[in-house]
Amino acid sequence: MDDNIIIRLYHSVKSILDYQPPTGSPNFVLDEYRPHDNQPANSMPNNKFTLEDLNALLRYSNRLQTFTAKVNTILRSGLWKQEARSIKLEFAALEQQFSQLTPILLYYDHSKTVPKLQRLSTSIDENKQTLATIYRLPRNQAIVIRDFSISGMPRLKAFAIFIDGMVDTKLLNNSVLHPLMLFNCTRELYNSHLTEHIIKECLPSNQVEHGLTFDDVENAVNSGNTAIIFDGIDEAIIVGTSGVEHRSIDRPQTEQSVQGSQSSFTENLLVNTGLVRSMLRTSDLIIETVKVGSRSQMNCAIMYIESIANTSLVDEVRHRIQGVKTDFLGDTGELIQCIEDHPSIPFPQSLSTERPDRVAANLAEGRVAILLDGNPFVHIVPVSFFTFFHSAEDFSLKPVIVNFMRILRLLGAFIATTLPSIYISISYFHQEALPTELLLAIAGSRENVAFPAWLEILLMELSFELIREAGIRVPGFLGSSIGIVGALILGQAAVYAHIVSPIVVIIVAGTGLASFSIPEYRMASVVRIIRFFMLALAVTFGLVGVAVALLWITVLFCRMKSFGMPYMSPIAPKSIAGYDVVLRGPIAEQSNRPDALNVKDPFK
Amino acid sequence: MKYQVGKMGASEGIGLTVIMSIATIFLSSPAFIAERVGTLAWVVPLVSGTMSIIAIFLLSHLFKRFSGDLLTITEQLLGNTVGKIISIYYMFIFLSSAFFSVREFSENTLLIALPDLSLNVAFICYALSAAAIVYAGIETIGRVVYLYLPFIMGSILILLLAPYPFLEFNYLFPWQGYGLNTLAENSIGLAGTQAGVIILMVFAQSFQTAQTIRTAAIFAIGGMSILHSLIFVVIVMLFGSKVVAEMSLPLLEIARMIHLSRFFQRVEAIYIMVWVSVGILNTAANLFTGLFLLSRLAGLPTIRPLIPAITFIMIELSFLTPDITAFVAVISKIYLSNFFGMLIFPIILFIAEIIKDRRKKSCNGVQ
Repeated sequence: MDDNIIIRLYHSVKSILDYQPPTGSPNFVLDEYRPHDNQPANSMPNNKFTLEDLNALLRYSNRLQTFTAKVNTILRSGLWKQEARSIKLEFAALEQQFSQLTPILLYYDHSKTVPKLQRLSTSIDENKQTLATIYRLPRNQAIVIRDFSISGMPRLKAFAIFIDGMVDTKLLNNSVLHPLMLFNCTRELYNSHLTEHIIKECLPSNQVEHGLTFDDVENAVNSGNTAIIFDGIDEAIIVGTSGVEHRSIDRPQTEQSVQGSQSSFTENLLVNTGLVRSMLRTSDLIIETVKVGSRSQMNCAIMYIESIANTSLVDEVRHRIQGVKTDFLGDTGELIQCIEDHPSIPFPQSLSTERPDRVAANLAEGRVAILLDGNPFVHIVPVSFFTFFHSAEDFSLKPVIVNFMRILRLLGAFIATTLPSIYISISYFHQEALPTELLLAIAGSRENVAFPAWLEILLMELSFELIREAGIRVPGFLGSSIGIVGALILGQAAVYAHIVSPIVVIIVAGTGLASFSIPEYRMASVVRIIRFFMLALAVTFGLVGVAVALLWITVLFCRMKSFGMPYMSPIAPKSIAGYDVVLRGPIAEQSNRPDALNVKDPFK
Repeated sequence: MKYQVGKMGASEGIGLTVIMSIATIFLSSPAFIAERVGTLAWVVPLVSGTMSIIAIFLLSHLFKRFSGDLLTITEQLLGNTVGKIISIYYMFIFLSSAFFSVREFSENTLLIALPDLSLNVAFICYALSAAAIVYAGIETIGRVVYLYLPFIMGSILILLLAPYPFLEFNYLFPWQGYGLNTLAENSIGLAGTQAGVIILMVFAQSFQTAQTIRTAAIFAIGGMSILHSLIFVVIVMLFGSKVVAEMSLPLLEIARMIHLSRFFQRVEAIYIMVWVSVGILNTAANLFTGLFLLSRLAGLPTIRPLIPAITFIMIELSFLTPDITAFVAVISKIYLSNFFGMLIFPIILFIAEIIKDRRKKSCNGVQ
């Protein structure tokens, strides 16, 4: 019989008062990681080395035992004449392995606490063991170790290590495994020239190099290449088999243009550098590669033109990137925040672009481009404030058209920053600035509105930001539909409901439109944030507050630097501009590179 | 390029000189000058401007022969004690200008823009805004002014051109004003209103060459003198010298009187924005220069620790005078005393340099 409600209530109260610990397994609690938790309490650090030494010796003795048994069998069977060459070579390999097992060498290798810093062993088993430790095999299933033997007399044991999904399997099969497994010739095994011989005679791949340490092997494998390790040889052959799937070159998504190039960067670093190089076919276009992120080990490319870019600028960029101490960096924006001059200031200090033509044009001016593998946005440094108001097609159009657009964009930025605060200032403090008719019209439209003007503006601005954010987050056509419908319905309904006045809707809509005229997304975002700060000052101090805010922003701009170059250059400080700053002059008058960049070659 | 720390060019020099010189036209100084010289007020800026340029040229001549800043050179020419006294005097000029700027701009902000605001809040806001800018450094202040210059000049020119329907040429007569003797006395005496231009010499070491200083002086002081003169012409032609002498803020009166159409009338809004920017930048430039001299005199390695303390003192001192009338009386005396800093000390230093040079030559001749 089921318990009635009184009995159940009684049990509930009793369970609260008379607490009994749960009998099942405890719930998972994600606690702080303590590195010593996994170690046995009485383990000594030196014991680890001793254990590994013993394991290595044990593996050697096993191999020796197998070899002895093999020799014994051959001698008994009377085939020693045919197998003498093979036995001799295998004995040589055993001797080499034994020489690596001397106490001094073992101590030296194991003194390097990180296994990847150790040099490769002549024993294939030792190498496999160390790689298993590095890659946490067999837990890490993305790592493939393919054992095979190179044909010939005698057959040579080898294995290839690569990461599944990062290699081009067709390339791996056709250019690496197939030629090696069908390699058929009489050779001197275990001599120092074997790898050279294999590279020259057997591997048709165009990217082949030697690896001497596990670090070399790890870097190569992590980049999508394949490492081949042979028995009896203490070096690896690294073959370029990288074939990560990536997006094909597409039209730019965020920097669309009517005129000019229509290609954009992809997530593949080599494709991206190739795109830039296809537009700048000069031999002094340098691409330096630096690894960033101790765990992510992302390739970061620094591009510049050696004969133009200022050496100290390049050194500084390299130095800052090398100085980034983090384990994971997956985005160029993240990297830039680590290396820019003023990380706490929200204004962008580098130009982010997905267009190879813009990168090429900026490199030709003496700037430096920073590319990160896996990211289609390239950052260009140093830049000035005015760079953010240039668009991609500015280079393709006539100066008159470009100048009109640039002035419009700057005006748009000013309106986006100040229009709501100027409206509030005038309606609260300086009504005399408006003609009487306009003033009466505004007053009439606000007659039935319950809220103060600043709250109206704030509500509408926040609504606008919500619609904008929702429009971006909702995918596909629905996003734009939400934007348009949301704005129309919200605005109209708010006016009918007397929550806001029509003039506020006009002001917020105008401000929003103006903010979209800024070509750089990050700059437009900052402008939207500043608007609220200015609004607060305008509500408190009217135009005085607006003037103070503008002054502070200007002071900030004049104080800021982008990789050592003044942010307001070439106006403050004044320098030779090259006639492509605020306005763009005729092509014939753009023979000078920007003076502020202090380039090696000031003339184009 | 000149963006290395402590290196300024002609543009920064022009910016600093302009901000030191232009602030007075937004305040009661035009009324003060019109009261003293009548219809000939427009000549005063030209004469005092010419004398300021001469003074700067005399000092820049010294900087060609000696290295160092104003304190170092005065000590080299006049000895340690006299050098320090003169530097203290200049420090007083700049710090007092900063204090007075805060007071006058705050008072008048209440008058023209925010009548309901508490005076204390206005003081604090002005002083703190200026102090925040001082942290950015003199280089930045110079650049900001240079960047603002087109907007400041543009708005003043609008103010001068827009009231053309109301201009009355006859108000400029009698053309001799209160007499040429009065003009001469006041033009020299009122050169002190431009004493801020000595800022070029205080930071002379930061400028590229003596020629940079001269270029900045000619363009900035020359331009400002012409602008001041034009303003006097317009305000006298609009209101007459007697009425101007009674006004507290003549430039604001021009802004109020503009009426070209119903869509372009009473442009005080533009005026207020320019006014506030000029006020804060002027206070910041004066404060920085005063603090710089103070730190040099005290042998301090940086001015940063002094900024909050002196800002606090500045706010306190701004409260001293009971009302704006008493304040204008004090500031008039200060303007007149600044005459020594603007003209007398540069001449003394120049003469001392000549004497020293002759002595050196005669010593060399004896040897």
